[in-house]
Amino acid sequence: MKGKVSIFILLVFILSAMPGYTTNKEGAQKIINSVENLIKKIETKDELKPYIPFDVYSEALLNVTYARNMLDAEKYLESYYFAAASLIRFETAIVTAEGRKNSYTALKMERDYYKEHGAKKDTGLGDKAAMIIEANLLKKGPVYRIQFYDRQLFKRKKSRLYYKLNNDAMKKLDNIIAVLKNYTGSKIKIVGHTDKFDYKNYSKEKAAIIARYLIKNSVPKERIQIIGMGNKDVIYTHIGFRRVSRIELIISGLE
Amino acid sequence: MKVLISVLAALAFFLAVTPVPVYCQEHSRKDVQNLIVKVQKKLDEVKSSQEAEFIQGIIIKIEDHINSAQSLLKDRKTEQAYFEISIGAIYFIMVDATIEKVKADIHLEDVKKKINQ
Repeated sequence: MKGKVSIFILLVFILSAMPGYTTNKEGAQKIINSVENLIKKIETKDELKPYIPFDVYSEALLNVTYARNMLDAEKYLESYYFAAASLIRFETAIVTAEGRKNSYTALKMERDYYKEHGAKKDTGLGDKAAMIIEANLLKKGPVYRIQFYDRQLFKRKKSRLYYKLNNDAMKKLDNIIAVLKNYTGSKIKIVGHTDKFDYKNYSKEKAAIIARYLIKNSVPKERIQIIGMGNKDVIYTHIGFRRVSRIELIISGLE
Repeated sequence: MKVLISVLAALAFFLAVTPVPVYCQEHSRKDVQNLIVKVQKKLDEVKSSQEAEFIQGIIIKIEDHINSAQSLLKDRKTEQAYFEISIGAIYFIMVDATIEKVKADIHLEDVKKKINQ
């Protein structure tokens, strides 16, 4: 009997000494709770929501979901890892959003000030700065960008859009054409987005309508690039991240 | 024979009632060491950059994870070391975001000063 008990005890000792997953359930649960508190904190910050980077935020959400699943499956090491990764990504999303908000606030303040005072901005862009401001182009990294929703660009008949440029759109595009003509080294990318299935490459067709208007107004064809993104991209709206039918104009070579 | 049967019965009982930690190594020691070296190299680049003063907190966290991973690797806990160093590597996205935020904050302050002049 003594022999049997000692062998049993020896077996228990050997098996528990085997290297394996940490049984740190509390550690993993603690981090998941921190992540959930951070998600609630982000939900209350309405002023930051439009600036949150969708790619980082969605990956963080996937990580925390996986962490919860791993916790339920008693795989505490993986749960800990994915919860920690999720926490870092959510914190990064908040930092990025705060940076973007300050960047846009600064640009908007500059633009409003120079519009009001009619002054020429000392940006190193020279006398043409006023033209860029007039065209409502916003600097994003090394490029200038503007975005139009479909309803801002195209005519309506009763409640339906039909794809011909309206007068207001032509005026806005004329400002952009002026910038392109003055900066002879600049190039423009016209990116079309849809909110539904991209039937017959429709997003690219919309971008082509804008391109034809630019070419008609003497912008060289070689400087224009048309891209159809379909429904791949989302933007933040007042009802959350959504696919929205729009055209994005990205101009490079203005500096 | 009786001893053998009783040992097997005890083993079966143990396996049935307790969650047995099953060691499943997906990453070799060499892979984890290489990853630690990569993260250390990237951290050294970040430390020597101009913006290092703004991200001291994050640098310390990454260093902690590198040290922890090296210590776990010495104790032959390879999988835990892999997860530890992977968490350290994710911090680099926060480094980039923090640097961009600092630049945006500085730009906003400059604009406010210019407008108020």
